[in-house]
Amino acid sequence: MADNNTAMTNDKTTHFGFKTVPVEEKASRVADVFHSVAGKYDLMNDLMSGGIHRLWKRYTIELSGARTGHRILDIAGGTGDLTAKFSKLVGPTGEVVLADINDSMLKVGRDKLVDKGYASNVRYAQADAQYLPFPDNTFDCITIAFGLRNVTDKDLALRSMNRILKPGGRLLVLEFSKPTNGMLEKAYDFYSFSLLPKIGGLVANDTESYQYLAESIRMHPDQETLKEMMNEAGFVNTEYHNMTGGIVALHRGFKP
Amino acid sequence: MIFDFFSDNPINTVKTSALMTVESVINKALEYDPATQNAVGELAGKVLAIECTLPPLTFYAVHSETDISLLGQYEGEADTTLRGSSLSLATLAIDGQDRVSFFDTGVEVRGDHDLLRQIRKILKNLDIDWEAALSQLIGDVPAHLIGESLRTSAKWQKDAMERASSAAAEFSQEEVRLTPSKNEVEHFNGEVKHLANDVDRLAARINKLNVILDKKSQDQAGSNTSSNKNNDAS
Ligand SMILES: C[S@@+](CC[C@H](N)C(=O)[O-])C[C@H]1O[C@@H](n2cnc3c(N)ncnc32)[C@H](O)[C@@H]1O
Repeated sequence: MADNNTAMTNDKTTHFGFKTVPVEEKASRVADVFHSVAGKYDLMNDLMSGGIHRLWKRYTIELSGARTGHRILDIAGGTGDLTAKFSKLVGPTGEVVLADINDSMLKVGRDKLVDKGYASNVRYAQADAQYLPFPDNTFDCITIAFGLRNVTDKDLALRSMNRILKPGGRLLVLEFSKPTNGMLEKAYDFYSFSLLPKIGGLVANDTESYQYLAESIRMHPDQETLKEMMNEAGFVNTEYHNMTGGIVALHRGFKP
Repeated sequence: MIFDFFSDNPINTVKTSALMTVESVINKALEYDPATQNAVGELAGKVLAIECTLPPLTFYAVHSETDISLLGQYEGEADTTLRGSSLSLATLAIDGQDRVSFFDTGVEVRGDHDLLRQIRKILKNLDIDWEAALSQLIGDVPAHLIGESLRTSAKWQKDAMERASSAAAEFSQEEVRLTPSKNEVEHFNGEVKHLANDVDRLAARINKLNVILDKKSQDQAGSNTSSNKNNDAS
């Protein structure tokens, strides 16, 4: 697994799920996936993790340290679940930026948030996690939830996030990871490889996209590897918490 | 069995999901009560820390313009901190009395006393039909289960308050005897709720799967069965 990750950044090809594709192609294929699922995304999210993703996200909020006046970036923010809660916690003197590489996703997110009255302290930005268009030392906290696995060059993205964090600011990475229990891993494989794409086919009419999601989950670095990558990118006091038996892990690191 | 996977979880899922549930019930009630919602809005940015000694449980009520967040962890300074047993805290929350001082409540109040007065006023005004509210959020059957347990604990609180008002000495004794059992009740209710939710979800997913399988077998009966290229590894 670790070898695959380094290969990802050095070679001219990268992984699209388990298929190997040229690097330039990956971004556009990832975009295709999310364009095709954007409208059904929240519904799929609920089905995929049985609603447990709300608990995972809530824990991310609790470890964010978000409070009045903070400036927070929710990158790969999609339909804005985390942004909504952050918007309340930082209040009118704070600011939350919902950013995503994909404008369909961002649109769904913005419509949802505006509908629910979160307009005042939320801004929207179409941005690539690898090349974040913000000045150095801008944010108190950056979150990337279920987004890092889609990013082509994860090291580049981690360094980019480090750059725009304020000293003392923190990065939270919520992502599918490696289950700690062998049995659970098997069950989970079955679920994500056979069941999930079929449910995807049924609900979003798009089996291939969810096949990709399942595969990209498996290609993602495990807990220790990601922790090491964060350290390399300049984060300190890096730690992770396994959730739901390691299906998901929350990594946290601070900019010194 | 499958729940064993969650037992080594450093994250207290029961606590987090209970806080999320209570939070959504309160915020739903606020949506229907604009006056009280405004009162919450005036407290925006204020944080109340609740440190329950028995059972040991700390959480934070963070006020925003329109609602309240209940968080298991909060790193900023709380404006007001309450510390006491679940019994004394519950009594303080629901007895609805106008108090000038909190000296004799069994709850230690640190920080801004005025914030506590305002929050007590809000709780007093909020009219929550817990069971109906919950069924909207999570469906009828789990809501009924929770409703049952709330009725039990409401009665428990009433009994406890009657005892509490009788004599101060008796009060502390009762408290010691009762509190652990309330802890157990709460814990058990949390587990039941989880189980009910999980079973519901599992049932929904199995139904979905059946629909897919039915459709698949129909499709295949209609076309060529030998064209099935699915692996049979699992
Ligand atoms: C699975 S969604 C997660 C959305 C949201 N954070 C959540 O947890 O519900 C992944 C998101 O990552 C976005 N994404 C993929 N690659 C990205 C990149 N390089 N930079 C920024 N966002 C990216 C996708 O457009 C998609 O909206």
